[in-house]
Amino acid sequence: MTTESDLDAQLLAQMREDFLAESGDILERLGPKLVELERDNRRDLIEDIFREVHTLKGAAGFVSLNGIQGLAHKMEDTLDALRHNKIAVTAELIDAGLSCVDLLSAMRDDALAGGEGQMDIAPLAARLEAIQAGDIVAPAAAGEAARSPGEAAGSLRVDTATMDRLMVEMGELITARNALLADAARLKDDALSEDVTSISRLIRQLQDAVTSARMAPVERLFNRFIPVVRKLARERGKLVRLKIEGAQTPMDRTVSELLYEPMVHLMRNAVDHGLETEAERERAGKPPEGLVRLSADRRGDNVVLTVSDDGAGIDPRRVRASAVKLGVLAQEAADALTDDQAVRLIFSSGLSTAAAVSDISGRGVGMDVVRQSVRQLRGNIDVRTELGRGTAFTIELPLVLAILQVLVVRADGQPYAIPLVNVHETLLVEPTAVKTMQHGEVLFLRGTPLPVRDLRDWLAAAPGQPARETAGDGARPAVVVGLERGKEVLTVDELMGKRQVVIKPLSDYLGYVRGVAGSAIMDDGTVMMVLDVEGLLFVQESDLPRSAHGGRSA
Amino acid sequence: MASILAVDDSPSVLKMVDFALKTRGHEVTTAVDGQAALESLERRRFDLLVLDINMPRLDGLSLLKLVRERAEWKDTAILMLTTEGQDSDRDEALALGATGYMMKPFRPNELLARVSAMVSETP
Repeated sequence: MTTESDLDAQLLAQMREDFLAESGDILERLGPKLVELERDNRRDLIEDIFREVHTLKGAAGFVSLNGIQGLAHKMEDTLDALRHNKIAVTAELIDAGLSCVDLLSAMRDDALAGGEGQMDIAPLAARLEAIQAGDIVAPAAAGEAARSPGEAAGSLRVDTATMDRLMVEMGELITARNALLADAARLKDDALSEDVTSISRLIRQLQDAVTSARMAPVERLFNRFIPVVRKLARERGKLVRLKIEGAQTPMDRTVSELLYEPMVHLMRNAVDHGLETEAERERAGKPPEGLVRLSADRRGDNVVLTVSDDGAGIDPRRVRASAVKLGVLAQEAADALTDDQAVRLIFSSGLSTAAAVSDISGRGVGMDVVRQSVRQLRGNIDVRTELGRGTAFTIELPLVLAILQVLVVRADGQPYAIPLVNVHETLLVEPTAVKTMQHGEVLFLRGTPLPVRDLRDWLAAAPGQPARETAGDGARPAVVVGLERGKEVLTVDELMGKRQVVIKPLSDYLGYVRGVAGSAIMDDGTVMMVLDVEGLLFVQESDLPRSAHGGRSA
Repeated sequence: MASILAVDDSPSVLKMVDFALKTRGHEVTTAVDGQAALESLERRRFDLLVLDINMPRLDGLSLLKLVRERAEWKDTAILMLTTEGQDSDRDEALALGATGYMMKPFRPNELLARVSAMVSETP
């Protein structure tokens, strides 16, 4: 019967989505658990890992992801042999287990992108079988079954795209509220002002709720580094202990995601170049095992992440020498730097070339990229180092961030962002097409007269800035923006394209600045204002004729 | 129509079972492991348990044993969910008094057919 097969198809399609979310969580937990097992061969941990893999296999079968099911099945067999003491926990076993997690994740990613999640699992399966055939008798694992509690009840899974959208809508709501605030101020209506004030309070509460929903413990990000550090250490033949602190510190999920790449870089540098070899450490009187510390801490409205090592440290003299040799600085300039300043040269792009690797223990490699990534998140990165004692990188990020789609334009040499929701279209305006009417300049767009304004006029109206004398000649690019009262044309110097930016509200004590929704960082690190078009063009209107800035701006 | 307690540590499997059973008008309660299931059992009566085997805290076989030891739960029908390669677990479940078993993966309609057969037998 069709209804029956429809039900099957419907439920299984829904289940596939659920499975993809669920399997992501399982795979994220598996890596760290396998690494932990290598250090701490506990019976309950083996059972826990076995169960995770078993659950993965069982659920994958329903949604016909045969690659995932097949490999999970092979893993389960190997883990079963481990459970029954037929094989031991060896580095090879953990290696193979982590490779399984990688391949399972790759197949999951494929399924997530709409594929069938089918990849060649034969080589890994053969490796697992070889390990199982090893027939080594394992020493009985110590420790009794102290089962971990099940997943937190009452939680709901929401994907990041939905959370981002919620944040964008939130931003729009604030923009609309700002327009209302402006109206209330203009109309001088007490009842309206009171209503706007209470709406503002509700929006503030809603904003807090949305913000906190975006937060998750930084643990998920940190856990991803556990297998990474182990792999790096094995590749380099170094003994490394990874110490994690402050894993429960809350952080924006999207920011967590974006921090992975730059932080992997810091971890790699720490293991590769920061930590000495075992022999060098012993000569220096240090314990043979190197320490990499990863920590998170809340400091006011910021989160501070630290990656540190107890390695050899960075020698400022060698950084200076490299900088001079590579032509980044002249000798005198390099000599004039303090040691701290010299070490910070590793963040400059000139020192981030492969040629610098051997000279300054490779510290410079990609550090400019790391700094760039951190800046895009409105964060700062700094380094402290002590010769023979180690190096610490600290990343400081604002707690509250939001993602916004914008059109970037340039006016008077500065970039500005216009939220894409306000943009109807872009066009080129010939000076001859602009007509002067009673209330100002208009442009006839497909027969409809639209008010024309120059973004530079608003900038000139800002306090402390002289008014612009004349408009430039020739055609100017323009943005047709949609406002509550209709469309208007905003001319600019240049259209720079669409971007997704992270917007940060202006600090609280600045309050609401008319026309500005917040600030964002460009790809090249410069700061730009994100315009609140509704508020901006209100200022325009009240400021005509454009001489001084509007008196009531708070 | 029956009151059913579905127990599985996989959220996606649990949700699918829950949805499927509800389309037939069954009243469904879900639990993510044996311990949570036990807490639900203490609160009210169920006609049927749909029970996974491998779960954290309290596994399916242990829960099955506890249920069969209690006089007031003795008649509750229990459908065990097994997977390929779990033959010994399946046999143990039947020996402990499970009413029946189903091998994962199954189609939602297969589950509905099994469940309606099982609950109609229950007085």
